[in-house]
Amino acid sequence: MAGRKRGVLVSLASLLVAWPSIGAAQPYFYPTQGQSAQQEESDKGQCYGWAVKQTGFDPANPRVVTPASPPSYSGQAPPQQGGVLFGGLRRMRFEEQEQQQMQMRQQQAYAAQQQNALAQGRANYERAFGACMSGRGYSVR
Amino acid sequence: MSRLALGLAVLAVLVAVVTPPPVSAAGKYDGSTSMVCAVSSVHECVATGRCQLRTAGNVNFPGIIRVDIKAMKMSDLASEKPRESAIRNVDHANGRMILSGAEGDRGWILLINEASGAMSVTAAGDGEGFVMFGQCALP
Repeated sequence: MAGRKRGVLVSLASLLVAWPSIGAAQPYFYPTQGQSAQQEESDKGQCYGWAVKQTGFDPANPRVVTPASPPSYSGQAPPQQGGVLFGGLRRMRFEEQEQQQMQMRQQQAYAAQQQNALAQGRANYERAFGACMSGRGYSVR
Repeated sequence: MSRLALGLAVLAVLVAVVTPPPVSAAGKYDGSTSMVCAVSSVHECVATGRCQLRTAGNVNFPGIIRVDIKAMKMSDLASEKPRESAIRNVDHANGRMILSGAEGDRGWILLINEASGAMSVTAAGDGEGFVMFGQCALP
């Protein structure tokens, strides 16, 4: 029963892993020692837990540890206290534009960094999972 | 009551019900009631011809204003310390209401389509201009 639950969890995890990388080759496991389907599910469940522990990457909850995200630019000029509407109009200063553009670039770089870290974590997890399954008598391709 | 009198009374009631009130002869955004207008886009332009897309917050303009023609003023709805502008002139032309005024070293024009409530605003200063677009609603 526990093995079946784990199998479902692994299936879900596999789906999550596959989702962002549709088109990427997924590994196949062949039981070289005549293991039953039930045994295979149980092995997958145990290898899942082991691979998560080894790599720190859980495909069911894909998160990576990266530095804090850069602050987002509010885009607001300092509020004017009282006064008039049109007389208070103010052109955006060059420094503010530079700051806005720099922070946008930082945000993009941060997003790319996160994406790379996720891909790396996923690749590590798959390697670990494959190694575990190999050790349990499955051919991994 | 004769049949004729009864018929006339029924006709009078029908005419009163079917005839639209005089205010609807004009557009609904004609200034007869105050309006709330939201700024959706702002373009900041300089004399060299370069215009850049901004937000209202970027150029220190409120995102939502109240336009009150009866009081001849516009005000910032969001700010705690309200900003106000006096409306100097109100014109109506071809289904548009055109408000204008002057403040500091700037002059401004705000145009509202009386049928749709679509708003266009320009504010001009020395070597600079702001063009804004938005939409008005009746509260």
